[in-house]
Amino acid sequence: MKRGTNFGRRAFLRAAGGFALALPLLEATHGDSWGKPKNAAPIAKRFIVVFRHGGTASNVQRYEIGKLGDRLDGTGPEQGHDLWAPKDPGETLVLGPIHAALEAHKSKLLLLSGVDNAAGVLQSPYLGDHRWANSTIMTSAKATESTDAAGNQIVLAQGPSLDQVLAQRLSAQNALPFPSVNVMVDGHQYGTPFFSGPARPVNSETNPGKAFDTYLGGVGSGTPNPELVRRQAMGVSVLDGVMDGYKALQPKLSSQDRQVVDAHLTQLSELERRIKTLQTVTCTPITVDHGVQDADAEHVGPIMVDIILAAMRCGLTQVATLELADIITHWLPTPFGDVAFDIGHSLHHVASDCGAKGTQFAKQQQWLDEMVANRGWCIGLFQRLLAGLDSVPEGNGTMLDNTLMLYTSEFSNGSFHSENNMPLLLAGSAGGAFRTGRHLNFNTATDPLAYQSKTGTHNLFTSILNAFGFPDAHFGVDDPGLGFKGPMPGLV
Amino acid sequence: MRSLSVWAAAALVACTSTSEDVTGSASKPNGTAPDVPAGVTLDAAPSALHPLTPAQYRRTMRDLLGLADADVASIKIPTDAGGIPSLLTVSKLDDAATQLTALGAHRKLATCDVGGSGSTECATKFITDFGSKAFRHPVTPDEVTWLTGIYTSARLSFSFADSLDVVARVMLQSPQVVYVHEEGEPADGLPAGLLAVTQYELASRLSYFLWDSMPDDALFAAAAQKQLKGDGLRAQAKRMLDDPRARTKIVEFMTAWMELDGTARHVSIEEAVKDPARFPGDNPALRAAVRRETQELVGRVWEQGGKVDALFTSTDAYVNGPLAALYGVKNGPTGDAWAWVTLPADQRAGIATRAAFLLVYANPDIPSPIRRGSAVWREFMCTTFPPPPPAAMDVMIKGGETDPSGKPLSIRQTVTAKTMLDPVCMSCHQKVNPTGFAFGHYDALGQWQDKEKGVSPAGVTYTADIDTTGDLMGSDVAGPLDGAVALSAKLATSRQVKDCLASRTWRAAFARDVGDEEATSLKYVQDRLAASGSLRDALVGLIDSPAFQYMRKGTP
Repeated sequence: MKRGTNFGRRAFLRAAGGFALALPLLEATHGDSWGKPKNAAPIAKRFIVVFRHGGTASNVQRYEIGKLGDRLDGTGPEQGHDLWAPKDPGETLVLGPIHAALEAHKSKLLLLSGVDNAAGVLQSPYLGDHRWANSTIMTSAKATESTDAAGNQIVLAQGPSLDQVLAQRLSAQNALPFPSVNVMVDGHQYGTPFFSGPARPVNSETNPGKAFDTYLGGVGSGTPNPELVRRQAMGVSVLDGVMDGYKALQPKLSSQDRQVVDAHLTQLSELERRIKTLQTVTCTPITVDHGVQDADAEHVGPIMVDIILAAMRCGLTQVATLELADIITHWLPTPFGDVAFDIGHSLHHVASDCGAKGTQFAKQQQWLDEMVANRGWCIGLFQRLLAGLDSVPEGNGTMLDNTLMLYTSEFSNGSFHSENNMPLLLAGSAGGAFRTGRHLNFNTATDPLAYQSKTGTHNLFTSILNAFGFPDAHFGVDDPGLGFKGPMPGLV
Repeated sequence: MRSLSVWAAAALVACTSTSEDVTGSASKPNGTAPDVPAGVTLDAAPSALHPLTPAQYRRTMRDLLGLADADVASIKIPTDAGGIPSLLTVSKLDDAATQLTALGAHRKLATCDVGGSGSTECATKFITDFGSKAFRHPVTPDEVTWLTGIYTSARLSFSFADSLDVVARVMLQSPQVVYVHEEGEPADGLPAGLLAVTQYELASRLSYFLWDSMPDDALFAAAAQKQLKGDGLRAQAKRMLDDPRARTKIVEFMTAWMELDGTARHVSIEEAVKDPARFPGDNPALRAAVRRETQELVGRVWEQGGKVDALFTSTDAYVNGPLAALYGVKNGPTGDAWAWVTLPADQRAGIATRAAFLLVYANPDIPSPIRRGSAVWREFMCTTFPPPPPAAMDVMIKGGETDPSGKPLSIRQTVTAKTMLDPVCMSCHQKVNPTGFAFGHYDALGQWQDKEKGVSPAGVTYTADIDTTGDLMGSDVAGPLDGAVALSAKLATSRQVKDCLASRTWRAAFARDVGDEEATSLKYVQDRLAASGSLRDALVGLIDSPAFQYMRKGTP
């Protein structure tokens, strides 16, 4: 059953402009249709993370646990395949199989190799563990283990993720309705990579209808809507009342309990600020099929992308995160067939078995085909987002040029839980801050079968903060085990 | 072996009196001295503010507003790892309050015409009546002032009905409703720093512990009359345990104990899709039936006294046609008809031998001795293992692999070869494997198999003999055993299993683990469970203990 027929690109155009299916999005949307909040900066820089849980697609044929210095990316005759790596190790960007959908946008991409999640490697058991990797990949922070209310052992970052740092700082400069838009394609995963502060994971919306209601439902269309005004006024009255209730509790609390209530109050006041700021925005966004269920990943993915796009175009936010769970893409060909569990990560865990010495070597090609299709679907969503932004002129270029998009995962090789040589794909340049159309390789080993790097995601994230105008000298945990601190060389 | 018998589904055995009534009064109330069982230290852990679970919030809304489960099914409040409320959670609470208020159920409590212009008097009455129920304690003067202030301010802009809605929306996401926060009160005879949980706080402790919902009118009345102590408290506990809501809670508690809803480590029953080539009978309807069967078994054991040994030994099964076929029951129900049947006692005994447990702890194609064995240790014995190395996770063990001489290897032999040569692997697997091997006669769907049948990695169909000899090495019921029925018999008599189960009641009661101050309370609960073997006794024991009736304040 196809439930997503009315939210494809064409429907987007239809909803936005009401005509002209053949026109580029720009012509249907520029002018009065897409509003801007008052006092907005002339051209705002934007940051978007697409996070794919469970690693990219590479296989290695050995069973040994990875150790630093080993390549786990498919390089060399003994090492199987790496579907993420560019076909050319040099600076000329020649995309790998997973990135096929991005070929037309190559000039606006920057692919990084040889970059470690150093904070993760330093802290994780076995040099790579889901919970530690997830908590550190976007935070570069110290992480700690604890037990949640249901009794599960969890690991939480003790610092904010890059997206939330940018959301908070950009929002302080330019108060848009949403410091960040956080949506997710639901399914198996080991914890969000996004944190708003110490031990404060960001919870992302998994239902497309609710995501629409939250992010776009309060936007006025330009014509007076007394019902919306009444609804928003009631909403503000409610939140005022609720906040008074939480404030009355504060003096009675232990320091631990006060953290909870203080956070609740902060969120309530953010909700109220959101309603009030939304009242200043006029925009015709998209329509969304509210019947699409969370588990319907095939259709949820494109809707969530369109919601982010609409939120960006309507000037509702400067930061967005799209989390993609580790799912099997059942609606695409699945030539490899069943894996230990019905989750994408299990597909990666059979990587070793599909190597030349593995028990499933006979099915190696099927495995590669299924992995390319599965991971390629996620890149397809990245492409949809990228193309959407690139179709809107802004300043001397497009909206994409003023945006920095990052695609990553908690692992490179998901089978070995490797936190070295992370998958890091950038698109756009945050207004020319990064030079795109290139591949940058930070692996310094001279032996082609070895791997050595001193460069970490904390360096990249420092550079990104700098690109957004924040002069940070370092991002994340300060540990002598880090290769070096400061920005990543060669990006400009 | 018992012959097959079929009972009518309706012929559920009524709750029989259990030992809680006689053994519960381990101490005699003596004047104003606290009522503490013999041998238990009068102490309790700090009470920490915590949110209702998503299910508790949903059921509280159902009971508060007089709604049906279906009315609140779409209310899904997220949980926040780490306990700090996220923007999404607070936003969803606001949405839920709006959605629930739109149903209009709260307006029925108004004593005047809601459609008219109303009056402050009518609004204040509504605030007092609805607030005292919603807040789970009589509204305080401060709360009335706060809420009437909201009403008065809203009424300046909105209709009377809308103004009541604003007040109701505030209440439904107020800290009094969303969180459990306890103040406690001083009482005679308590050591420094210890407080008695107030009567209304105790009512909520009871109702969320035993029902996952708010107190009912009878419990509120008991709190109002200060009857929640000693025999009065035990009488309420007994009444509540006999209520169908307790059965629902116990079924969910046991489902959580078995982790049948999935964790980061493994999938849920619904997600445990099997290889269609090998298991053409597997489908969502079958898995739904599998869940129901284990729920009904747990519910039946609960209704028959909650005996832990029966959980691990019962051959009763509530099945429909496809499940009867799965279990090889002859003359059982067909199609969608459900009936109680007796399963072959040489093949099945209790929850660990039912399809729900067996298919969750298996791969799509073959059973997983490692998952089954580690589940027994982790869940039933509260024994934790360090995480396996990444390359070990989900490594396919297909069975039918061959040794160097070309002889096909069984799953057991393959697992042994892959886990027992490396000393690091061996340290855990020497315990896990012999437990998991006992389940060798159940395939990945939980069907009985006399011989292991499978497809080798090379695609060749093979059969192998099944060796189910094993051990619960290092436990209180260690020793050789053969098969899952024998293993279950050992679990049924194990003190370690009962101690584990008793400790799990803490999380159900307090949303946290056992506190340092509560060691003797835990011992008391464990002793009661060991003495009577009844989960009912463990629950009543916890309610009887100082851990439940007293509290400390957290560090300011």
